[in-house]
Amino acid sequence: MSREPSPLLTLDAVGKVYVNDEIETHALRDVYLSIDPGEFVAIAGPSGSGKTTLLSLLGLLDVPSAGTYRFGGEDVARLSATARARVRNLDVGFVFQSFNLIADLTVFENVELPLVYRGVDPRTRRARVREVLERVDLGNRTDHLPTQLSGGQQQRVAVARAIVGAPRVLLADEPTGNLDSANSTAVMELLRELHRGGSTVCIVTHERQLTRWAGRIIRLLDGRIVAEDATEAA
Amino acid sequence: MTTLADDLRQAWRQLRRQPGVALAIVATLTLALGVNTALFSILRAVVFGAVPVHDPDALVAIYTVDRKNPGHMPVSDATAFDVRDALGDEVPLTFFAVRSVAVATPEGRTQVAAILATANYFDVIGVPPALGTGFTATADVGADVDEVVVSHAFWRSHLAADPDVVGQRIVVEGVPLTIVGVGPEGFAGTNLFDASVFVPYASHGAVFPEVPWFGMRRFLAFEILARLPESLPFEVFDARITAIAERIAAANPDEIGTRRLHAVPFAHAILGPDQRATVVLAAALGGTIVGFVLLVACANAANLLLARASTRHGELALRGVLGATPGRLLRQALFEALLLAGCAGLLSIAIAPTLRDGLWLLRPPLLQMASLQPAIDGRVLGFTAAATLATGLIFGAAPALRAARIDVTSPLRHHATAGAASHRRVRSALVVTQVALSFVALLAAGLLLRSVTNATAVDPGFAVDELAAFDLHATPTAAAQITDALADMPGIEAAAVASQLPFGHNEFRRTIAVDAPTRSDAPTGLLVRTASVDPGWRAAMGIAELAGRDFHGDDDSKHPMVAIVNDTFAAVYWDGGTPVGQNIRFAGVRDPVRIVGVVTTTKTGSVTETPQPFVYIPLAQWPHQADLQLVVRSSAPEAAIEAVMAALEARDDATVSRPRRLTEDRDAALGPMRSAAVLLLLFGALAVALATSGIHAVMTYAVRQRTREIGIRMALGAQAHHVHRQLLGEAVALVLVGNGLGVAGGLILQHALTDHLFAVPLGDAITFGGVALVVTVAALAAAWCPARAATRIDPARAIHHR
Repeated sequence: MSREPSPLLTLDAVGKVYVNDEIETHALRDVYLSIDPGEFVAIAGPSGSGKTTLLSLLGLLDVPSAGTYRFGGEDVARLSATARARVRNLDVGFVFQSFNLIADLTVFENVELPLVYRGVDPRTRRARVREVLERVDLGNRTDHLPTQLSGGQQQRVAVARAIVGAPRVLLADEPTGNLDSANSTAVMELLRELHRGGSTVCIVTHERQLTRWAGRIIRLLDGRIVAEDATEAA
Repeated sequence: MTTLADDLRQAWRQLRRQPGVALAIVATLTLALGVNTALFSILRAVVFGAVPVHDPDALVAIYTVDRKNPGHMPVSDATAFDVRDALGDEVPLTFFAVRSVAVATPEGRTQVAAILATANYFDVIGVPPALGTGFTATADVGADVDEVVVSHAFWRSHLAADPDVVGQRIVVEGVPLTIVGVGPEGFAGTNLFDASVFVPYASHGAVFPEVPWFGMRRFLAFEILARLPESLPFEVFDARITAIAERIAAANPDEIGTRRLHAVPFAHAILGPDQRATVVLAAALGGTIVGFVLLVACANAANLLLARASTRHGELALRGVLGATPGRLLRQALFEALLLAGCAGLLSIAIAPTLRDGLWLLRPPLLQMASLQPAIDGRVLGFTAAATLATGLIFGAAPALRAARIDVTSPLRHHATAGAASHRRVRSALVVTQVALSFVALLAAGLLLRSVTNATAVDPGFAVDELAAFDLHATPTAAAQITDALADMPGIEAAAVASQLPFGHNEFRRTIAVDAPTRSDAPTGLLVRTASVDPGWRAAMGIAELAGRDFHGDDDSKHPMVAIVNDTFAAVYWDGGTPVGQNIRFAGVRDPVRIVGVVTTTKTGSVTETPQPFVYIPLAQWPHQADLQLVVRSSAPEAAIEAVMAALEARDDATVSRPRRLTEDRDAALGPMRSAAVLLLLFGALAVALATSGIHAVMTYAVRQRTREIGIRMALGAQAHHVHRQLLGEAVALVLVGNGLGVAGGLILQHALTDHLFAVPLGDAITFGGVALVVTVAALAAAWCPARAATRIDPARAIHHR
């Protein structure tokens, strides 16, 4: 895999500390990581190793307590909450384990949401949403509510929502955790397809077999990166 | 624009998602906004005036003030003419007095209020007639004017709304006058007396030939209205009036004394400047309390939205993850609140007229005499719009700020509990606020009710419970015949007449000096309330005699002038001993007046007043030129009223009207306080009801959210009564804190109202304790059912509750 000269995401000595009732919990310590455009990275590790915290930082949902995180060369610590929200909206797509679809919005409206926040005009929104729903093979379910779909279909809606804004990076948190094996495979193939189309994909998983889909595996333990493996996959 | 539409669409969807919550919020706010709108429309009409004159802001009223005596008094016609001459043509000026007159129409004879006004009255106030013209005369003196303008209401009630009425004649005080015009609908004069006829000042000699005080500078009966040109600021005009008053006083030092003139804006003059102060205070108090009601409703709405927001935490966080900025989430939450407030605002406008009519029924007698009609007009709607916007921002603020600070990492954490404790703290604070506000609202009513109760129990110094009273339009001779005849009727112990009764609207004050006071600090001249009474007055009223004698038949114009003083007057001038035999002097009267008796001090203006000096003078020596007051004493006053009305019905030399028990006048004098108390009681009850429903809703949500916790407690062995007691205990703690803050606020309120309460000690245990009891019981009743429901939770299912 060829590397771009300038990485998309760069973490230098990043740490994250949570303070609750005067108890400090070091979720991440001295993390050095860079992810290039077009990479498919898997972050693996046991429960409590810091995977979700790392994903929160990568997705600009949180800011590091120490070190520097640059997204597209921009120091995230310098960004306001509003600016981080704009970056998330424009450049990051999220896929969650529990789908996190809004129950009283239709499939179409759920997928439309990032474009609504981006201020895209309704006509362009409609065309773009229909395009991505066709892409995840849900073009005939636009008016359904999430509860009327299977788990696999819901996760495909979530993927459609993640990619509708053509983000620079797609972050997936245990994307198959609530799916059976057939649906898991379908979703991972969808992610691979997106990656092959040029997207940068980063998944967090504790399932060893999912890491085979990635080109690089980052292994975490107790908040530190303990191993980094390249694979032949993707 | 697209973004705005998206946010509005989203807000609407959220409201539809939980219609029960939305309906509860809208219903609560509708009621609170409706009450505020209704009260504002009333206060606007009463405090700022709603008399339909042209450009009321350009009108200015002029009153007499006296540095020796507080308050504003009317002006004499002589002074009014001087002022008009001094101002010249630059400032159009009219003056008028209100008189009670007998009017005979084809439909019969009736007693009505008349405005006796200068020829330019309708021109100055800018009121065009509905039919005919205003006064056609142009001169106020030296002309023989035969004309009258009738009010629109009088035209409809007594002249059959005859469209050809102009040119017809009616008889006013026995004088036929030609109707030249009918006033516009809704117009009944420029003060609180509903005038039915308008008589030109120039005709006073013909219509009121017996009245001696026209042209007398000491007799203050007229109100002046001037219309300022745009080029003349009020402050400049006021200064000019002050200078004119000084010149008039310099030219008439004996008659004017220390009296001067003072200009006030017309809007402030409709009630009279002194009454206005009382009404403004009542308005401020009422406005504050309905403001509290609105705040309680806001706290309710905020609490319900916060409770709902806690169930939407995940959704809001997800929106943040997808790129909704904190500002966008804040705006979204505010839109929801504003949409709810907007719905409530629209509905409140729909119910406001009904609420206004209900509240208006409770107005005090002072305002029942007025032709004021509170309207839901543009300014009231503007107030409602502003209140609606403020309401939405207030109750939407907490949920909006919470939405803006949402933890966007929570979708990645599947059991997020962050924020739950702070949610509970905010909601608890809102409940405490509701309890405290409703406590203060109810306390305001309680304090006034205590005052009314205390005032009603006061002994006024005469037999108020045994007295019936009437307005009597009759000559002195006829009045004497009537009292003699009535006194002989079975069931009537005594009958008498006087110029005025205690607790009445009319008040006669005269400046009195004493020849030989024994007190070194005695004033040289004192403006004292006086009444002209007939010889049977003191006995009929049941006023105790302390020294000297009563008036008798020889105390007439052929004998030396005499007076009876009350013991408060005596105490002002003499150190002990009796003043009987001492001489007093009335300003403008050459001969001395000898004190022949001393009586106990009675209440005259209100039962809450401090003891006031009072001088009684014989009616035969001081004839009264307006209606007399007939009083009849009986152990059965209701029956006496019927007997008197029947007995006088056949007399054609007298008109008797306004039959009533004197207790009604006493209670009417307490009217503003009583009306305010009843209004505040309604508002206080509303505040408590809203707070109670809020506590119920919050407790219900709290139990639902704590289902798992309660299940775990029960699984660990907690019994139903443990759970019930714990939840009720939490509610009690909130109510106690709220009551504590309410007591603090109540003490501040009572301190501010000290001058307007009667015999209610600061922190009155009965009032404060009673209010605390009501609020606590209501709050606990509201918490009882949700707490009870919690005891029926199935622990096996609850511990798996998400």
